[in-house]
Amino acid sequence: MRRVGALARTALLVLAAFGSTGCASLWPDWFSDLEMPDWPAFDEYTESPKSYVEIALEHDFLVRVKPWERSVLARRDMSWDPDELEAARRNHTFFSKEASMPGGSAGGGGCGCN
Amino acid sequence: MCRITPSVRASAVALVVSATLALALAPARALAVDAGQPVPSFSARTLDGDATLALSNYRGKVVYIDFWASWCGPCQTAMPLIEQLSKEFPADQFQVLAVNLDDKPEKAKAFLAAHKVSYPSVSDPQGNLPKSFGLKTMPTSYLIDRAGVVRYVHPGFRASDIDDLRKKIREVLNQATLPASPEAKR
Repeated sequence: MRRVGALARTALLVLAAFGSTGCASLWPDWFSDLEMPDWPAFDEYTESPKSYVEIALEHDFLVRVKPWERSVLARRDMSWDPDELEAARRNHTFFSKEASMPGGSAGGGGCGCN
Repeated sequence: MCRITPSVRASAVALVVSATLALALAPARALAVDAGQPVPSFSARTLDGDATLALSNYRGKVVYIDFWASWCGPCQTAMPLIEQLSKEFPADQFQVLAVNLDDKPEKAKAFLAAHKVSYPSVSDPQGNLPKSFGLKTMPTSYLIDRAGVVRYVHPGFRASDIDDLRKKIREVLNQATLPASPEAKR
């Protein structure tokens, strides 16, 4: 069992090392006959090769929204509190019930004296 | 004899993995256009789509490039003030060029119908120009001198910024025309 764990850790280490170097030539040439997707493997600004982790993050589950791509995020219904009046009412109810002011925010250092 | 216990080895592995991940995920340093650098040359369709405007059309003038979008609050503050600026300086020496970054140009057209400005707006829904300028925030404006060199970058906008901008434009306008350096072609 211990050996399996050690092997798994070593495999993870090797994967992380290869995956994060940003140098495709370090990979063994196992996939040379596969057609690779046409994703930008080079950073658009620095023109340095992107690491596999970066590519995976950008294309699988993490989107870096550029400043000029925030039109949807700038919509009123995308804000934390689209209805300011309702938010104020809820906050008032919350801190009244909690007997703290302002109980709904994260201010203060935990002394209870806010 | 120093023995590497499993816990020490596991910690070392965790350290190496986290360090490599941290290195891999560190944000790439963006090569943004900054003061003193030549402005990237570009041409783009105007918002109404019936003409192409190139930055080289304004060679010899001081150009104020303003990146804006209809959804951007500070851009809406800026536009009437920039319009005022564009009229304060002689048209043969100073030019405002707006670059609209709305993904749907119709939104920008609707905005401009309600907030009329006299300076031209080009449309870049794909966002190629902000990429080439390395834009870091919205809005951002660039003051370009007669030789095609960026003299001032103004990220964000507050109404109180306009006096400072006016001063900077005046400074650049009052400077003698310098011969364009080979890198500063546009």
